[in-house]
Amino acid sequence: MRRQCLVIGGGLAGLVAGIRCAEAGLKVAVVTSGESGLAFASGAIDVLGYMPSAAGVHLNEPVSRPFEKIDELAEYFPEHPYARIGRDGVYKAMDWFHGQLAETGLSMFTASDEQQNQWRVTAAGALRPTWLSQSVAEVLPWDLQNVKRVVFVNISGFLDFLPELAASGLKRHPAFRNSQVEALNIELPLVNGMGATADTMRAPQLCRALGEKDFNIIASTLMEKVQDASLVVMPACLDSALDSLHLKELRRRTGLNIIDVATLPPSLPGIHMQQALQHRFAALGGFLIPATGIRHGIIENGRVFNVSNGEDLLTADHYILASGGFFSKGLNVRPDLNAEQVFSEPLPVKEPIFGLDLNTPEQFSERKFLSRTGHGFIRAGVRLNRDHQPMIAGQPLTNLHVAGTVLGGCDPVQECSGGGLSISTAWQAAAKVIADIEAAGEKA
Amino acid sequence: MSLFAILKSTENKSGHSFDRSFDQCLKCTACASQCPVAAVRPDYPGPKQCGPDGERLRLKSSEFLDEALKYCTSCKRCEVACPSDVRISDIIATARSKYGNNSFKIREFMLSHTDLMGTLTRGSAPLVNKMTAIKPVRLVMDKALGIDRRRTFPAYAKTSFRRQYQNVAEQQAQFARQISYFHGCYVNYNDPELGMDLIRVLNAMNIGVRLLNKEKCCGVPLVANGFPDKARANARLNLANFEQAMADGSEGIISSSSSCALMLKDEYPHALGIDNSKVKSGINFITRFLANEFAAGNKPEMTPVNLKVAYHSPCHLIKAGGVLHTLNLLWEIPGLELQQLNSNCCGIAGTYGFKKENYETSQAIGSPLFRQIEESDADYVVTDCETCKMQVEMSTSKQVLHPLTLLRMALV
Ligand SMILES: Cc1cc2nc3c(=O)[nH]c(=O)nc-3n(C[C@H](O)[C@H](O)[C@H](O)COP(=O)(O)OP(=O)(O)OC[C@H]3O[C@@H](n4cnc5c(N)ncnc54)[C@H](O)[C@@H]3O)c2cc1C
Ligand code: SF4
Ligand code: SF4
Repeated sequence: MRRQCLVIGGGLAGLVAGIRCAEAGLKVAVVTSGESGLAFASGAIDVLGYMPSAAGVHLNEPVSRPFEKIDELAEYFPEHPYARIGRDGVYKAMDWFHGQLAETGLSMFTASDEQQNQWRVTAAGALRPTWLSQSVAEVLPWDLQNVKRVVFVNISGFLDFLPELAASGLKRHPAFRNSQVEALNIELPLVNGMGATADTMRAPQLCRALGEKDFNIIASTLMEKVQDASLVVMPACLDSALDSLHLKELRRRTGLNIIDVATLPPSLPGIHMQQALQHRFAALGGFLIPATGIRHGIIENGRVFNVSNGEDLLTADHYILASGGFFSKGLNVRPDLNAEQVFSEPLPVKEPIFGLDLNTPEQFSERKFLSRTGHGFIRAGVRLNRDHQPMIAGQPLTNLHVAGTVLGGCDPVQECSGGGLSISTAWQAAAKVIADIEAAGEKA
Repeated sequence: MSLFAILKSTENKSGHSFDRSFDQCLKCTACASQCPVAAVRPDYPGPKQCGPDGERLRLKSSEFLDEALKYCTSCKRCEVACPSDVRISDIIATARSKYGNNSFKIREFMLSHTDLMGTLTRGSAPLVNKMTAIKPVRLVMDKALGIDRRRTFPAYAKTSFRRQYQNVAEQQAQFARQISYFHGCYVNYNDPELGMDLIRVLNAMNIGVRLLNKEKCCGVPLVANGFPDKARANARLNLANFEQAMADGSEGIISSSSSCALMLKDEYPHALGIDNSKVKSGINFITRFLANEFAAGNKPEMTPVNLKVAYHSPCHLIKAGGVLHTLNLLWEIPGLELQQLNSNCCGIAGTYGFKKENYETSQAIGSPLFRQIEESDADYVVTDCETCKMQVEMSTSKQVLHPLTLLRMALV
């Protein structure tokens, strides 16, 4: 049966778009081909951590109040997705997302002032400004003053988290020059490990292997050895499910400020967010269609008529494209180019399903600010016209909406804005679908 | 498969197709996040380690064969996650039969020769059903054969589907459109009623159902239990019969089992090295065939069923990209309130969960699904796979229907 909206891509952007449509009561399905960025992500949601590089803006200055910076960003980069959505829109989208997650039982925290960024610690010991964090709110003060002792704690032998590397990473940060930053490995029996050792496990297996006795040893070792630590950082391998409370319990028992951070993938916090979003979508009556890659679209009179997986046709009134970036194959290097041409062509990239018009890195250099330190490939992506519509050879498509990393005009890695961009663009695309369907209903 | 992979897949000496797709591995670990076995067995190193990484070592020396490979259920969720088309699950299955201990095991033989077991029990079905339900018999099967005594066995039907079909054969021949039905072992010996549902539904759409002159087990349990040569022989026989059926004017071949369909259509070439290109496009899982007929306007007359059902998508249907078709079909049934269950493996994985050493793993894998089913207020669970049905009915309080049965219930 025909869906009112078909979302292509089941990553963060696709699921958010699906949830918003389902919440509005639309008949909606999400089709997706493979894994998304969520299986690799930290599980924290960044909105804007650094202003994109442009003359006069200090790159390394972290943004403390992300929403307030959006007006400024819009002035410099009118093609940036945030510029289209505007400060209020981005905040509304993020606040709504926070509420949706709460419905699933996944608690996420803003800083005590919810307009404010907070720090997240990466597994490499770097600090990134983020907006929503998964384990605890504000693990470090924003000014980073008076953090005396940070300890990175690993389960001995576990290879997907390297506490020594993390400690030396954090030590390089100027604010930690006078702090004590160190690594600690705890030897554990792994009571539920079925005889396997930590060096053969990834985070999900290690999580399963930990039993009561292991948690007792962790707690007593921490109390004995690092009782005065301002912050204890562990690999995210303590909680296997959304309703598991081992980290919380460990914090309570030790009285320590303990956080867990995403390991090398698979990342449990990322998987948890994926599950939470999928469950929410299903609970609202949405349908997720896995292992179905869309190959091309059939366009008639400026509308997507249907799309095809190469064998069968899928039909809907509206389509949302949320197929991700290069890794997810939402964008491709043009197959018709040889290696040399890839580097000389101004636009060696293609959006493979519809062949939508793209932003090229070159278009940025024509703008007010010439410096371009971000990677050109990352800024390349689908271009929208003034009415937020994608185009093919300049001709707009009226029932196709675009969200997430497949969009161009931004550099989420450099800006620390990946989550916020996916969520707010998806929220906006869904809002457009809902409004169009309502308008069509009134007309009819 | 990419052209690159095709060029690289070569034949080894024994004529086994020899998969080089491990060379395409990007080391991204996407596969590792989706493995249901790794999520419950800390001693299972996961798809990346057992598949492409392990294969590299095994090519050097078979001593690198990891015992843990036997825990893989061949669910293929890792392959669905892989961005680079590495045939992880096939690599693991092949390594097991190529390097593993292949001494004859009676249990593996019994569990995998589903058609033979069906034939042997013919005429004695009530007795066999009673026997496999008796505690001491189960204990013997458990102790002597390693088939877990906590398992419920599928009941054998009194009259096989093929025999029941004889009563309607003449009537089927009256239809102008004809399609051939690969009923598989399960429908033939355990659930002929499902085959009859298929006939009723297709007849309501003015299509007659034929049987193949001859068919043998598709090969899924044979591959899983280390009998690839037997599977190959079956594949050849089946394909010859498919070609014959098409030559005799059949529109195509349909299957009501999601696992049989995946094997017949997609896996014969690379899992068994057997070319099915002559008939491949004519082979369909039933929900795809029906969804396309519906979309083309050939829809039977239906009345509201007024039911609430929870849909579970089988791993092999996911892999085949078939969830789309089943949902398309279920969306068309009037009066159906449909809830899609979270995508979790049920844990049975064909014959896997019947083995004593896998029972706990099997139930642990399935537990999130069972919990969600118990919590739902659905009247029925719906799924496309016969072993998922057995597992869910054994492990929850709900009855499980095939989408075809639900459709038949909606017919006027
Ligand atoms: C390693 C890593 C770490 C990250 N860490 C953070 C973080 O700490 N904080 C933060 O805020 N953000 C983080 N992000 C970014 C955040 O997760 C992104 O917003 C997200 O990855 C991009 O979402 P998306 O939905 O646009 O695309 P993707 O996640 O790439 O999803 C696209 C989906 O579309 C599917 N698809 C592609 N083509 C097709 C097709 N033709 N047909 C059907 N389906 C298709 C793909 O299989 C994929 O599932 C991280 C991302 C990565 C990769
Ligand atoms: S086939 Fe299934 S059980 Fe085997 S490795 Fe892949 S995901 Fe794991
Ligand atoms: S998902 Fe595929 S490419 Fe990635 S590690 Fe696994 S096998 Fe390799």
